[in-house]
Amino acid sequence: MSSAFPRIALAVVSMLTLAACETKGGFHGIEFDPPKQVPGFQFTRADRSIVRTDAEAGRPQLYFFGYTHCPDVCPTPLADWKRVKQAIGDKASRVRFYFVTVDPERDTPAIAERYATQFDAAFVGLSGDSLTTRRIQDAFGVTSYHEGGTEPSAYFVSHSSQVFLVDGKGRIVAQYPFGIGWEALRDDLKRFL
Amino acid sequence: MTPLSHRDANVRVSSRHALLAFGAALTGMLGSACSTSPSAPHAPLHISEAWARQADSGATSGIYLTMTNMDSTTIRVVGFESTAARATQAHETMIRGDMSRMDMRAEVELAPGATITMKPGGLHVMLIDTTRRLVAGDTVPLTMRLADGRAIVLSALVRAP
Repeated sequence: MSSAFPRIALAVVSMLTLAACETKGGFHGIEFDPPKQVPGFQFTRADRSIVRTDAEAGRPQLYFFGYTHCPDVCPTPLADWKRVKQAIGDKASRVRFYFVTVDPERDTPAIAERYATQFDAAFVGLSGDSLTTRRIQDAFGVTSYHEGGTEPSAYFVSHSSQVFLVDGKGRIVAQYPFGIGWEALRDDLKRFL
Repeated sequence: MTPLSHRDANVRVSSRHALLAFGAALTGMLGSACSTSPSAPHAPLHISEAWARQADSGATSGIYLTMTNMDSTTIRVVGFESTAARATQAHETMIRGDMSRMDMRAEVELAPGATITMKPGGLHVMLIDTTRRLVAGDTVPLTMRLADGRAIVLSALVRAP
């Protein structure tokens, strides 16, 4: 056998390892094993143009499901995204940042868009109709329900509070619980850029 | 008394009938927002790191701060007021599993010497239906009513979210 065989074998193993590392193991967030396929969804912007969340090769997506009347938890992941975006630099232009409201009754597309862009102009605020909202929450396993409030319009919404990382194939590969720290997301996101 | 640093909130103390304050030693540090009274040798609560989230008018915001009971008796904060919102309430966020929910707190109690830190994801003062846009660098007034009738008046610096 040729003496080149060990080097070729090593190279093959290395390539396989690298390929596996792209989506397998070693996440700083909580890994989805196996990754969970999610479909793309269609939303209408305030100006009536269409946004689709379909997977795009080479463009990872981040999702957070919250609502704009949420003063405490919801701003934190979006503020973290801003730090992540700044830390990644130019490559961050390939990332899709989606804030999806779980309260479309109050959060119109204009309000959701305004809320997201307060943090960064590249962040996309999405407000769907009730069916779209339910379907995208189901796809991600996101729960929400109304609570309290002294008036019909003054309720709060309890909701799932993690951030989801979706790869360029439209698969949830990891999630990031509230308070995990933005550095975990930054490091994991870099693997897809 | 613990000296106030430049990061401390702008704070004053009042009773129902007359404005009380911290004492002559603090006057210079706190500036014109604070007055003095010989009957108020110190503030019952030491407030620091008070800040509010930037928000649009008609939106919801939160105030965060750290407070320490400087008295020898338990202090109960039973009310929160701000002209920056149509309703001001203490709320506590609880994360169970991946779910976040908020519960209103009727009062906040501090044992002598105790410190409570209000921070994102926990206890906070909620500004519901803000009466104006809160812009980074702006300040938001906050009055905390104590069970014994005293009040703590402070201002929180608005920060980007």
